[in-house]
Amino acid sequence: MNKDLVKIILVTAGAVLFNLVFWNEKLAINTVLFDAFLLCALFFLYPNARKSAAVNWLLLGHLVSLSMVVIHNTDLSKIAFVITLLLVAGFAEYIHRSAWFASGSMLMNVVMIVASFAESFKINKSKPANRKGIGRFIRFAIFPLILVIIFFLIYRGANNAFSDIANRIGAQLEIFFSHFFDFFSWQRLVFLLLGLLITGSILLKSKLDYFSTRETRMNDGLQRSRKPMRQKRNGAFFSFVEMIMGKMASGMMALKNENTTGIISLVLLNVLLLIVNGIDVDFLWLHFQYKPGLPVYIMVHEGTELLIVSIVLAMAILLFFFKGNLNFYKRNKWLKYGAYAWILQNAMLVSSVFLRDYYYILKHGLAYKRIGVLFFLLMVLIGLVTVFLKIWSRKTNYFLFRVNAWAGIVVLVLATTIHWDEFIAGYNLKRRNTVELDVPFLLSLSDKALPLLDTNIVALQKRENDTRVINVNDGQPACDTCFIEQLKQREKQFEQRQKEYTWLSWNYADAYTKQYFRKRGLITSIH
Amino acid sequence: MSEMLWGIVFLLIALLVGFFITSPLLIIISPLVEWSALMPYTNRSKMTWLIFFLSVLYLLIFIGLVSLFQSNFNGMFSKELALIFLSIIVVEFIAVRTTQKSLYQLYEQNKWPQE
Repeated sequence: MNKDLVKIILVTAGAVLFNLVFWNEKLAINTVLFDAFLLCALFFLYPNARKSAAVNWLLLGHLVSLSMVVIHNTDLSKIAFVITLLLVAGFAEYIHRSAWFASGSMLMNVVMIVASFAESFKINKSKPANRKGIGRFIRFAIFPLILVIIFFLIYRGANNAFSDIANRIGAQLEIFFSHFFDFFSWQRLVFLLLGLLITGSILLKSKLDYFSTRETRMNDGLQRSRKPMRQKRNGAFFSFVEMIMGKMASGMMALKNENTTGIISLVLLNVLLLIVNGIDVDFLWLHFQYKPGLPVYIMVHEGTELLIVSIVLAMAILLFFFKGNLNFYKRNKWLKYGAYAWILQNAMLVSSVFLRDYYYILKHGLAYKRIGVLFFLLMVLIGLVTVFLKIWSRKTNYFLFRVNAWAGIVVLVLATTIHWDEFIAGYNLKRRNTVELDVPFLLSLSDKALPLLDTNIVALQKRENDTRVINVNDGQPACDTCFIEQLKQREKQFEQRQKEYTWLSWNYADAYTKQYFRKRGLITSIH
Repeated sequence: MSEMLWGIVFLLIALLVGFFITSPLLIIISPLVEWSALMPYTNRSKMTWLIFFLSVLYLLIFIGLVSLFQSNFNGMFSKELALIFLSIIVVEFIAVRTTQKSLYQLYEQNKWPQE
C-alpha cells in the first residue's frame, strides 16, 4: 500500500480513537488503548527504530510511566508519560543521541504537522487547470457578489413584498445556523482536530530535520581547534572578555593569562565557599539545634537559594574556563585542581542543604516543596559529577547537557513510581505526635489520600479542638467539626466526579478510594 | 430606506476602519509568509501550513479580544462567537486562495534544491 495513504489512514484513525477514548474522560486506562495504537503505528511507519538501544530504553521508561498513569494516576505520571512518548517518537523518527535535540525535532514535528499532513495527500498532476478554475471563479465572483449584495439591500428597502420574502429567507437561515451547532457539536469537532494534531505530531516526521543535522556535527570529546582572531572577535562574549582583560585577552600569551585568571578566581572562590561550608559544618552537621522563635523554613529557603546561585555560578565559571583550548594547555594542572576542589565544596554545600531539608521534614513533616528540594539536590549532585567528568576527560558541553538530560529522564520516571500524595499523608500521619501537622494541607491532597485521612480525621479534629482550648484567645471562631466537614465535602466531590466518568477513566487509585468508601460507608461523626 | 443607506455607510466605514486597524498585523503575517516559503515542502503543503497558522493567529487575537472585553472566558465558546470565528477563517481561506499565484511565485523563488 502507498506509504502516504497509510500515514493518512493512521493519523485519521488515531484522531478518531483520541476522540472516542478521551472525550469527557481523564487520562487513565484509555491512555493504554491510545498509546498501544500510537506505538504500533510508530513502529510500523519507522521499523528500524526497534533496533535502536536509545528507543528501547526510552520505551521501557515510557511503559513504566504508562503503568503509573493507570496505577497512581498522578499529574507527575501523566507529565512523564507525555515526555517519554514524545522522546520515543523523536528517537524513532530521527537520528539522535541527545534528548534536547530530540525534543527540538519533536517541536519541529508539531510546528510542521499541517504541512506534513498535507504532503501525504498526493497531487493529481492532471488537475491543476481545475484548481486554477476554482481560483478564477472566486476572483470573478467577488465583484459581482458585492454588487448583488448592494442592490439586494436597495431593492429590499424599496419593495415591501421582496423585503418580506427576503426576511422569511433570512429568518430560515438564522434558524438553520442557530441549530447548526446543535446537530454538530463544534467542541467535539475542535477536539477531533486536537486529536489530529497530537496523532499527526507524533506519527508524521517533519521534512525539516534541522536538529538531527545539527546533532551529527556534535562530539562528546573536546577537540583542539585554532580560531583566527577575526573570527574570535565576532563573538559578543569575547568582546566582553577583551573589554575587561584588554590586550591580555588577545595577545600571544592569551591562553597563559586565561589560565592565571582562572587559578586566581578559583582560589578566591574556594576560600569563600570554604568559610561558608565551615560555618555549615559547625552549625548544621555538628551542633544543630532548633532555635525557638526562628522558623525552620527560613533556614531551608536561604540554604536552597544560596545553593542555586552557587551551583549556577560554579557551572558557568567552570564551563567558561574549560570551554576550549585551556583544556589542552600544558600548565593547567592547578586550574584543574581548583575546579575539582570547587566541585567538591559544592557537593558539601548540597549535603548541608540536604541536612536543612531533613531537619525541616523532621519538624514539620513532608510536603511537595520539601520533596522537590530533595530531587533538586539529586540532580545537582549528578550535575556536579558530570562537570567533573567533563574536565577530567576533556568532554564537550554537548556531553554535559546530554548526560544530564538522560539523568533527568531516569529521575523523572523513577519519581512516578511513588504516589507522593499518599506517601506524604502516610508519613505525616504516622508521625502526628512528633511533627507539627498542617491539616488543611493534608485535606488538599489528591483523592488517593482520602482513605488515610478518613481513618485519622477524628483524632486530628480532637487534637485541633484541644489545641484551640489551650490557645483560647487566638481570635479564631470555634469550629469543632471543620475538618470532618471538609473531608465529607471532598468525599462528595469525589463521588460526583466519578459518576461523570465511564470505564475509560478507570485507574487503580480512584478504584481503591471508591472501594474504601463503599466498604466504610459514611465518615464517622465526632462525639 | 434611510436605515438601509446608513447600514451601507456603516459597512463601508467598518471596512475602512478595519483595514487601518488590522494593517499592523502585517508585521506578523509577512514573516509567516516568508517562513512558509522557506519550508522544504510542496507549494500546496506550504499554503496549507500558512492557512493554518493564520487561523491560529486569528484565534489568538480573538481570545485576546474576548479576554479584554469580557475579562473572563465565560461564554467564549458560544455558538455566536464560534460562527464569527468560522466566518473569519472562511474569509482568510478565500484571501489566501486568491493570492495563490503570487504565493506560488514566491515559493518558486525560494525552492529547496531537493524539491
